[in-house]
Amino acid sequence: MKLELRDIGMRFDNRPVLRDVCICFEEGTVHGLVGHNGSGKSTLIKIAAGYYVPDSGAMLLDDETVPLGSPAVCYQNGLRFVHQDLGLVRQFSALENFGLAAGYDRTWIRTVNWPAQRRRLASALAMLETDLPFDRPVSEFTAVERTLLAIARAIAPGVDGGTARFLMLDEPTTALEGPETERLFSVIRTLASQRVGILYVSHQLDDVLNMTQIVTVLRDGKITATLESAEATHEQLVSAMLGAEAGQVLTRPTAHRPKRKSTHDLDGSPAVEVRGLTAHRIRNVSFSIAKGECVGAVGLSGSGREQLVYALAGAIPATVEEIRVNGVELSGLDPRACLDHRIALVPGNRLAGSLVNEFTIRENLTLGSLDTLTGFGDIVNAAEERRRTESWIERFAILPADPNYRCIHLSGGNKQKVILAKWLAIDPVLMLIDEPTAGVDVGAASSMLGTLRSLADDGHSLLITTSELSDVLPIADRILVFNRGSLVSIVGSGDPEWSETGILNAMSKAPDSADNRTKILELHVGGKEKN
Amino acid sequence: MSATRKTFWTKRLGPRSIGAVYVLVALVVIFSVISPTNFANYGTAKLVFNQYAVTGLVGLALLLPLSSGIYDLSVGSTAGLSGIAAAWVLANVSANPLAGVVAGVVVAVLAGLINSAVVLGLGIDSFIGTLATGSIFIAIATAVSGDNTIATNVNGAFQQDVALKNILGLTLPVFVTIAAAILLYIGLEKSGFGRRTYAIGFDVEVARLSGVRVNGIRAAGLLASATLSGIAGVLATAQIGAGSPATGPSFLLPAFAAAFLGATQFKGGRFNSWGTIVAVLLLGTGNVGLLVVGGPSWSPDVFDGVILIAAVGLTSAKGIGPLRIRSLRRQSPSAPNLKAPVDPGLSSEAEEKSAQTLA
Repeated sequence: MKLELRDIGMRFDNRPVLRDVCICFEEGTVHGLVGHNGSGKSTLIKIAAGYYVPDSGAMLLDDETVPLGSPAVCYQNGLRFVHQDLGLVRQFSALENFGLAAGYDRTWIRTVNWPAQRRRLASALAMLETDLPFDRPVSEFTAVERTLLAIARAIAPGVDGGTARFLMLDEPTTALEGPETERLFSVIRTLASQRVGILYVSHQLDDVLNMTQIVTVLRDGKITATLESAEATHEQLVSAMLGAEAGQVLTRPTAHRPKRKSTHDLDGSPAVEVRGLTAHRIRNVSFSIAKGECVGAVGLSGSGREQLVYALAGAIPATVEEIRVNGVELSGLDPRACLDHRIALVPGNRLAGSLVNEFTIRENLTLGSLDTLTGFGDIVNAAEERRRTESWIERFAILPADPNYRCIHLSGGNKQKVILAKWLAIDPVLMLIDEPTAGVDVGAASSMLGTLRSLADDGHSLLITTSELSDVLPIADRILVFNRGSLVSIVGSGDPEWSETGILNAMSKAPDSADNRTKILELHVGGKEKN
Repeated sequence: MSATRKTFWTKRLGPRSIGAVYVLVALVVIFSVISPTNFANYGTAKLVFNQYAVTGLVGLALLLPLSSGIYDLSVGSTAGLSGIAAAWVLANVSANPLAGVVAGVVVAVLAGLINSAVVLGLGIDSFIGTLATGSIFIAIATAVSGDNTIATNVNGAFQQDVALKNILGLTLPVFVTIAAAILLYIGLEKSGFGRRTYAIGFDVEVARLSGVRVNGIRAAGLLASATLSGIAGVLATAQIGAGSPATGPSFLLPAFAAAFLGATQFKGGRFNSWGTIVAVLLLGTGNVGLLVVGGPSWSPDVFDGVILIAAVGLTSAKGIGPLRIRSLRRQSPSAPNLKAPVDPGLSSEAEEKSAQTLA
């Protein structure tokens, strides 16, 4: 049995996301699919799942056409999916979650036939040769148990027959730790041995090479390579993902090339020193940032880099052995302490969580620095507030230039300016910035990067976490590379690895634990001495 | 320039901003036409002011908690408990009016501390938490009073000094309420504290990340609301001339109505002093007017309901009324935080989702 997607073409907003994609999955085979963010992987999967109808092309199951655009038909034909967010309801038990996607057996009066549901879940778990508690809420499950439940739910036979023939796993290891990943892999192998075809999508290239028999590489909506996993190498995949750009030192115009002052390497103590930061997925990470230095932090999703700035700003629970700002040790990580030590957080999701939408530009701009505006009786100095607001509006060319305009009506780019201005108003020692260009167009992104670089040149230290290397390669002085919660590599702008390829390599390689970590430690200590 | 000035003032004075003022004026005109002798006189105005001052004060008490995104449903019970405390002290300890007032205020402050401990210390949702504490407060009031009214020494010097002293017929409660309105106006709209309070109410996460001490400000709000309710309870007890546990709770609904209706006035979506005062006057004028012109005894209730729906509905055409109420629910302290990327306490599904959006 084989599933074939033939000549798939798809455009969004007149922009091609998939071009003449032909891909064929065989039963009993684990087929890897890799590609950069935006290369079209998810779109392809959603077409196979029936959520999108492509502009051209067809889907064939054993040479018989499957109608596109109907999730129900896809399900009936045995095409099953486990999406990255799994789609489990935390408060529901495993059995209740099972029914949500796998359908309900009914009794003769149409109530749910729970014994039959149990039998169906049990048979699905037996197929995976694994076991899960049926009646415990999913919130008490470990990450891998949740993934396995989602898989069991996907491959279970439908209520009225219909067996699973192909299973597509989108980034299944994102939330998993080392040994958990192994448990998942053994389940995937078990499934493949039962003639289920598996599509395995992941950024962890080493996992893909280990797990799959065939790997397909997508770039900009086109297939650039289809390789036998046994013969392919990590570097081959990376260069197929990056295409012609691979190997170049910089892939973007160097308009914002760091104009790094050499003194920053040498002068005095660093602006910020972090030792032993642990938060959520981040395990015991240490680094330091010099005054006026722009540091990027990158890693695959789930590597911990997403949480880095939030942990440092005290936005999420975090512990740290020691954190010093300009030599002064912070007592703990909470937003108030951060404000007092002039650490500013510019969150990534600009549409929520960074501005009070109902507030005016003026009120938002001064919210962080309100203490410097209040006098006797905590009364806000209205004239001074207005003056400062107008000067920020002028400096950043915020439109409309009306201090009393409500932020809810501002455009994304102007919101971004207000957020930056709000935090610059506290004259930050360190600015923590998440995803500076997410959701803004190319022009705005480029001018944003220019602004960030000039802030660093003005003496503010910057720490930028991002999923886009193009956000940091052009402007950063150093890049911290995260993988599976650890800081696995620190690349300086002068190093030979300072290229998209070099950093992607570092990002996607599994950290070979002990050995690598010592190396990092040395690297870090070395860096510290240099500072 | 003149054009912008013009839009500025039409916005401020338009029916969208101060619709309740227009309705209030219309009511006065209508009642005056229907009953020029009974309604259109200073006596009616005095009646409205004196009778609705306490309701206004309880409505004002709600402003700080509501502005900071939490409910205080115990205001009525706190008023009841404080009134009983004042009456009990007057009857059993000292007939000095000051003793009654002090007792009432002290008990109210204690009630505020208990509310803060329950809502912020234990992290119980303010809606449930203050509903529960309110239930306990009123139970204590009933127990202390033996479920009777306490009139001893209450209807004497205490009533005379606290409720009946007047200037041009306007009694002390009216001036207390006006003073509270001025204080809250400055506190909410002119001070850093007020700015932070609103910030918490609109977006608690943004406020927290901006270095605002969320719990401190909410505690101050709960303390202030209990204290003002307590004063309201003492004033009401003095007006009636007897302490009764049933007095306080009757203020709860009109006070909430006034606060929410007031939020639709002047500041478009922010709870504020003058909006609340206008709302109370509107409700008071309608109720008193209906009775003066000979409406049936149930007509004020109908009026309150209709006016609330009409006023809030009118303003929520801007999307403010319901949005405001929804955001209150979302930001109640023990409700789950919806901002997945910032909160790792969430399920791994949610966090994977956030990872996905980040990727």
